[in-house]
Amino acid sequence: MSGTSLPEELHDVMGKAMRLEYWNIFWTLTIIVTMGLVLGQSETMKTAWIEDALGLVPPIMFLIAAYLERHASRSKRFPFGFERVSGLGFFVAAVALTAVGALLLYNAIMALGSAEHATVGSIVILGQDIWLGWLMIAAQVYSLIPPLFIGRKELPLAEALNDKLLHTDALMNKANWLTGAAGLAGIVGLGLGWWWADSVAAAIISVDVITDGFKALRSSTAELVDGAPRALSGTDLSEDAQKAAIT
Amino acid sequence: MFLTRFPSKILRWCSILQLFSMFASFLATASCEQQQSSKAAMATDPISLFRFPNRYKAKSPAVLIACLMFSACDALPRDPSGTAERVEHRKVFAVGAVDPSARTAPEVLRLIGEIEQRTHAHARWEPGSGEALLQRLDDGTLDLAVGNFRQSSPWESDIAFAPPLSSSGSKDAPMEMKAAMRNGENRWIMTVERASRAVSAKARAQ
Repeated sequence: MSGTSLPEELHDVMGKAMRLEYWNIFWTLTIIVTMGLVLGQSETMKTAWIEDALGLVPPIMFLIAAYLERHASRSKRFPFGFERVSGLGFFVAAVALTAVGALLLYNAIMALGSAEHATVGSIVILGQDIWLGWLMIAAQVYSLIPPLFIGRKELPLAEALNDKLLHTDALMNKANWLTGAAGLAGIVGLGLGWWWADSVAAAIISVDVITDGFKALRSSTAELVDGAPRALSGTDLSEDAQKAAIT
Repeated sequence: MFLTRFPSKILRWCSILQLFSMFASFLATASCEQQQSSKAAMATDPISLFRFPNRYKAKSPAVLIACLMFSACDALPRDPSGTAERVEHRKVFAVGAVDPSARTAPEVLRLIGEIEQRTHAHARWEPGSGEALLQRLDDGTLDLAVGNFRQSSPWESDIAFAPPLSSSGSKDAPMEMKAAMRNGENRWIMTVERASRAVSAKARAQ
């Protein structure tokens, strides 16, 4: 039996998952910088940018939990090792997602209510005046690409490790195209002169953030208070927990 | 009439759809530079854009995307309250001087002349000054306000500022001579920004 809380046979898989999460952080940072350069006054861009920044929380929490699982041994003070660190990380990520999502939704509704008309002006690139909206669209499209690939690679690793934090991150990454599409629609709508499109798209993105956060909050709370284990992809009981309940 | 307008309408709506595609957004920047030559070609032969030489047939989707992008460059942005279209249609735009000195400042006169040239409209100077004018800008009854503003003006979130034409004042309280427009009228704002950069080195450097 391993001195740490991670079984020997999963060390390689965990190593792969950690490398992937380092890449995830790198690509997320490139997205944050790209989006940050062209933010402007758009509510959609601000919301999408904050959502992308929040995307850093799950991989960072996973890496912290993975480090502890691999390196921290059981001791007198922690006789059960650090198996629950992952659950704690999941909970922290869930609280952050829900709280920021609610704040973003409030901002979007206020902007819609006060009929704020977002100004997106022009910028000079290589001597040409370009509408900043084009660059916002390009940044939004770029922000869709890395999560799509990372999400696909994360899923099998999350299943092998039975790691909820990694699984949630994978699903969020895979579903990122939805918020990307909403973001693109918001900027295009703004370009078409539909001032409300910007705030509506921001509200849609923030609702998606809240939904992700709320689901994660339900699962992580149940597991932290020693409820029956939940399924990897939702809030229902896991197969093992269901079998145990029957017997 | 319908036949001549129909293709441009299709192009415009297709251009909106193609905005959702990945390639369009990345290539749009480059295509804007070629827009003028496409327009010139259309002026002499309106359907020239639809005739693909044989060598382009294999690449027709790419050519189609490029054509759509040319029109997309021109299609966006539009103004929620239609300021740019109104100015183009009525050939007049309402300007106010926030402070009296702005009315005769050479850089302001150059800016107004440049906007007149770009829009083929003439400026109609409106009476009033100070915050009353900025409020009119916010209400949509004034198209442009020019004057000396603080570098970080408290009006920054309520109205849109063009790049500064010149600066004055002390280091502690820097002032900038610049134009202000109604928030969200993005096409009109772009027109004024372009005109500001055309007449002022400081605006170009911003």
